[in-house]
Amino acid sequence: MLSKLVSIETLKPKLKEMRFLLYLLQKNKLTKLALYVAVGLFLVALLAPFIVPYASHIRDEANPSNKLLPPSKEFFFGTDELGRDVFSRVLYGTRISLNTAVLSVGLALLIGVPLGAIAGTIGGWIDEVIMRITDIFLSFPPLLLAIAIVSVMGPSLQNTMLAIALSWWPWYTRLVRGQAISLKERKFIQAAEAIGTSSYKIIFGHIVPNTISPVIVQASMDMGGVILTIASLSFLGLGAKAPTPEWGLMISTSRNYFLNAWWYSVFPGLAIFVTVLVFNLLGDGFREILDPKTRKN
Amino acid sequence: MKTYFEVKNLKINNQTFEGVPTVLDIDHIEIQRGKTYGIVGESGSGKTVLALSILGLLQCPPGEIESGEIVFEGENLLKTSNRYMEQSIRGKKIAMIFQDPMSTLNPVFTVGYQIIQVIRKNQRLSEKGAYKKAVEMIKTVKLPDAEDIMKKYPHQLSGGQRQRVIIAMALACGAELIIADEPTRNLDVTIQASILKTLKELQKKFHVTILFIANNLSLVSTFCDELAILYKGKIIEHGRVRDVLRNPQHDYTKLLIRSITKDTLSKDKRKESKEVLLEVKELKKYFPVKKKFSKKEGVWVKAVDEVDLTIHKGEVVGIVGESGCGKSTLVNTILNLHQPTGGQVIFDGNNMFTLKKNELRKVRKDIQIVFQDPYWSLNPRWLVKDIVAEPIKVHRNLDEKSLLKRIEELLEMVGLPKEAAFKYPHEFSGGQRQRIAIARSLAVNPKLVVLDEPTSSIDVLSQAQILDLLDDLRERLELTNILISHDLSVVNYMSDRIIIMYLGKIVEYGRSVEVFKNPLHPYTQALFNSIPDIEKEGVESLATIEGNVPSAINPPLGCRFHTRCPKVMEICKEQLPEMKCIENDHYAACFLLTKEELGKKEVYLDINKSHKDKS
Repeated sequence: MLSKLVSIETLKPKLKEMRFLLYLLQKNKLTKLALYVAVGLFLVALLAPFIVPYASHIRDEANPSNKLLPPSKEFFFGTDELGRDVFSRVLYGTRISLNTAVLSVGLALLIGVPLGAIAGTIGGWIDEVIMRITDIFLSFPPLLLAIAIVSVMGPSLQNTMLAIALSWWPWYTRLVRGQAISLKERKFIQAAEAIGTSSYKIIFGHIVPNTISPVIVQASMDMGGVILTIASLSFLGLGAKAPTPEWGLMISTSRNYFLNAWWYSVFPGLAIFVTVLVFNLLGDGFREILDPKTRKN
Repeated sequence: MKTYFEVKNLKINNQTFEGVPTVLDIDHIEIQRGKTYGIVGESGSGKTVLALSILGLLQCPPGEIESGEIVFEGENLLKTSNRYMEQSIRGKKIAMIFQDPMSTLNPVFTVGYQIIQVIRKNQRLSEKGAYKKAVEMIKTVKLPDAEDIMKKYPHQLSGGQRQRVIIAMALACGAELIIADEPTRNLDVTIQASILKTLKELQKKFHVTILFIANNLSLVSTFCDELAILYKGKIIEHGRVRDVLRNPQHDYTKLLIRSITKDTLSKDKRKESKEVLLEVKELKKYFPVKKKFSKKEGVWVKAVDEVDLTIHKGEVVGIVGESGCGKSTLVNTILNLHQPTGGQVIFDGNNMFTLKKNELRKVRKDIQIVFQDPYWSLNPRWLVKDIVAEPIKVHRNLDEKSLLKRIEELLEMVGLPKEAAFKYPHEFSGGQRQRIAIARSLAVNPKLVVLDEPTSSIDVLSQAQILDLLDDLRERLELTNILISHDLSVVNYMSDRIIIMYLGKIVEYGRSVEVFKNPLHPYTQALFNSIPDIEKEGVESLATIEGNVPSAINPPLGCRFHTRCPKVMEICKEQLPEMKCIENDHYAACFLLTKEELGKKEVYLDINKSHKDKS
């Protein structure tokens, strides 16, 4: 009973904090718009199988009679070379792109954040080793590294995710390490040390929660980049495979019909454009809100 | 006679999360030309908002000027365009000296370049003429080696020197009204005294008017002709300094005056214990100065150099000194937060430096620390209950229920409501946060609590309450305290014994009553006399010590203080004076206090007198 009470009590200040963030968010119109669109995108991704008009078109179903029809009331975004509804496929693509992006960024965070926090807090040779490894990873262009990894492990969506996570984590390590080094000088870390708190608890109890804001900003900006990378890899044939309605893959196939079926490439392209833009705007907005300088009150 | 500067019915609001509160509501301020007007107020009372709105630099939004006038030489500054302010008011007629000179100076340009820029922007002078003028201005503010200073970058100067450069810049462009927003806040008291003196002299020389803003009533009352007391955005009292001090009307003013004229606690009740709790023997802490490309060794910052001290159970020992004297390093080394370079620390029978990791953790339970700044010493992402519970979780095993009970008990003990447990630190004021920090330090029943400037970053009213709380807790829980502070009144109020440090060495120690009554070391005397208090009239009464604190990298040979000592002798430059017992339990390290001369009391009197003559 008591523990339940505690958890409710603990939640209250968190809610208050959230309300404050929402208030700040409201003041920035562009961010607010981006947030609405992003929430919409996530909803679409979640509900895609239920809301698409032609669920069967997601798979490899062919309707030769409807081949390459221009946008109409029946098919909002027209149809592709197999007569499938492009609108349904673009909507479903949202699910695939966001899913992959969230998982890859999540995996990258899972690797990068603890490593950065450990490197920054403990320092010494551990820092040296971790940072040199990240330097090596950072010296490859991320796309090339991802291509290399995919070509070794074979093209599939899972491998693409893994590849992106592996090429992305060093950025978080660097970010968090820098934060950790400056946090280490804060008095509450010294206070924890004086109390006798173990380094493990200092790193994961004190340092990591305080690096969250810049990490959220960076991660939401990176979502856009990751979605682009996934699309690029699929475009090159190193990501999703044929019937999957992945945006990059759709554009890749549509190249052959580009001249007489503009809708086939334009709508997946627009979807990529909107998603990336929204995440970039969101990242900028988050930066403004979470910047400690504006949050002194 | 026309008023020089006037603020009428100024009302400023601030848009926030929870509505639009009025942050400043001033009926009337009037400043005569050539006078010094002081505004006293605690943090958040609207001092800086006022300064910024005079210069038209207030951020709107979130700020919002609802009504009012700021009249300067017959012109309403709030009605003028930003362009006009930029071209003919800001920096030309009204200049501002900020708290932190580092933020005003551009770190990538030399000081000389920046002064010349300011001069050339305001006066039609050739490059050479401006250079000459700049050198002249640097000399005016009493900086040595003006030509040399011109070539330096801001980071190469000390805080006091930087503040002088800012004053030089303000005067160079011919400002008539200078707004000084806590110009000496980050400076040591001896430096503060000399800056204030310079400012006062220059004020007379250049006939400028000064609006002096600070949170320290004694400082303002020493420096200004007239003062106003700002409380929650309102001027609650104003008038000539003496009138306000002698006959305060408002309750807040009375409280403020009482808080700085506090006597010492009656310490007679404290029973003296012979039991030694902490013994420090020849403790040294040197920091290596890193030079990347040379392997030359032996360059060290001698932050703490051969310090001995003994602390008995139940005592409060105050450590006093200017910033950089090593007082914080000393404590951190005692706590084993820094690796010591040499020496021993014996706490409660344990040698702190030879303990194994596990044993050290157990001993740490008995030593807790309360840091200076409660804004940075509490993790902003943790709830108060988690902050207070941290030491308990480390050192004891309690189930959720009894943990919560213990937390509530601790919060109650430091005078906070139970509900505080479920809030974040930023929802509390400075004083309340310090209470949280105190609750945390008491959570595991320590024997020794180190108070590192416990009151220096909270407002005056809470200061007195925190000190009383600390004293009460000390008595109830039978604590021993080490109190570090640069505020002598705090140390005098709290401590049984006092230690005075200069550049890594102890120069004097003894029972605080005696040290305050009869300071022996020339440094102690100067330190005591450089602190403004409301009894002192005018900055002329403050003592200053010439020169800057030497670098601890290569501390001067002989007595560390000889470079600035007014009574320096040949022997001081060659030999280190030993710590000698002068009278019962009062020790000092100075050659003036030799055995032969101990018989003649005049020696100290002489030092005291000559010092007063000097200042």
